[in-house]
Amino acid sequence: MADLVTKLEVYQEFLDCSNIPLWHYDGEMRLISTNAPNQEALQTLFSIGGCKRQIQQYCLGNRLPGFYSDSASLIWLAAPRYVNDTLTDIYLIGPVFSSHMSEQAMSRSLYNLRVSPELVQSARALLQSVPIVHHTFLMHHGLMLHWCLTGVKLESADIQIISSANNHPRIPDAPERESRTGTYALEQQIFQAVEDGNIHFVHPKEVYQRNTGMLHKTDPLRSAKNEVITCITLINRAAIRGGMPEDSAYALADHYILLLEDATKISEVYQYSQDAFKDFTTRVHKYKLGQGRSKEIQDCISYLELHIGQKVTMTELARELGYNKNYLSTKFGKEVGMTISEYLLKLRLERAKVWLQNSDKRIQEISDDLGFNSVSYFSAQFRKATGQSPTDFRNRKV
Amino acid sequence: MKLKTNIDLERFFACVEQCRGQVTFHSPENDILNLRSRLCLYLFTVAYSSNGPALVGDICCQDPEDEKLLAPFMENIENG
Repeated sequence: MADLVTKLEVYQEFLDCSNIPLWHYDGEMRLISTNAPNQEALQTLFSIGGCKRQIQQYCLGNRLPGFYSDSASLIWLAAPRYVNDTLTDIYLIGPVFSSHMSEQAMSRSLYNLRVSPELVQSARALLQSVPIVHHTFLMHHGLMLHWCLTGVKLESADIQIISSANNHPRIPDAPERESRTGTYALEQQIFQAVEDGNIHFVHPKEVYQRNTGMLHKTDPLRSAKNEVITCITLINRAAIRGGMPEDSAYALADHYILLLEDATKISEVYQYSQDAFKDFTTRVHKYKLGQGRSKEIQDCISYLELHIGQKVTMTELARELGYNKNYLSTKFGKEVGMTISEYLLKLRLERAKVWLQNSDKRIQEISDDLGFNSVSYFSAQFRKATGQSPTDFRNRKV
Repeated sequence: MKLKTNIDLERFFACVEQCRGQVTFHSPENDILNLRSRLCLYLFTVAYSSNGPALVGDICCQDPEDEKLLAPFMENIENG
């Protein structure tokens, strides 16, 4: 217990550096302590619109930290503490805004109310005391809080989104036919997971620190929606590359985009993003299984993708995967419709296209990094596959 | 209906949420806040916290039945 108290004291000092308030409630949601300024006003804000009730309900059924945002874009993060299966404490950090836009949007709405300027000024002063913390950093604060309470280290993806939107319309199983540094590479990993139907994929933690930019000038909710629509669009393309029929993929993307358009909270929007990622990945996984690709061939493809820039011999591949060389070669041809070396070449040329369009790598470098014996061989193969030389392909990019 | 001093805002808002009609707060400065609007609740909270427990103003209910619900928080109506 003393250990917990010490950890929380240090944690609170850490939060103080960012002016983020920490609240300690008991299991019945009675306030025990807080370091929040404007305590009474903030606590009342916390109860408006059922926010407090929803967080308590969440904590009664969950042991992981949860992220909550209300319709005014005020954000809280709650971490429950259980002792012997009993909810004993709820720690809460917040409120925070995720961007300046949130505070500005709310201030604009206040001015539109046509009440006395004094009252609006008082409200603005309170809002301006709310710290601005990007949601990815809030997630990290949540991870640290959970560690203080339990000693368990979580990933950002473990933080739950507390949302009343859990009852959103179910996506039908068969829908009707109707450079910023590092960001690109991280996104590619996610889209690759969708394309591969990799249902075991874990988001790299850096993905929560990526800067996707400001996608709306004034409205944070609109900005989040735009970001997620873009993401769903790209996930949709990855799913098609992974073998999902185009009509189904477009229909599914439309479903998610229409759903998130109706969302009134940022947390709901991000919830749809996570749901869409899982849904598309699972469907691609099923399509791949449906195509009759065996585990051996899935393993083989994963190995080739992992060693795309290295010389891979049939003997080495068979030995690494633990199969007979002839067996693997025959089975691959039967299931994929091409030889392993043809497949590897196709894979390398696809990667070359991505690099030509999105990087400053020299053609010699691309050739080397993709394991081609010479740049002239690479260029010849590239021309054969695309009808253009690598230089022409790069220059013609839109 | 005049608002009492020292009310529990959380409980007051919970009762307002149960009201069937519009509930408005009228300040002496002629500010009118619709207490069914979340934004106005924020303003009301700020006004309440900046004026201490002695926020002066009237509460008007569109539906007379709602007045009974809010009676415990009002000065001029007997509780219960």
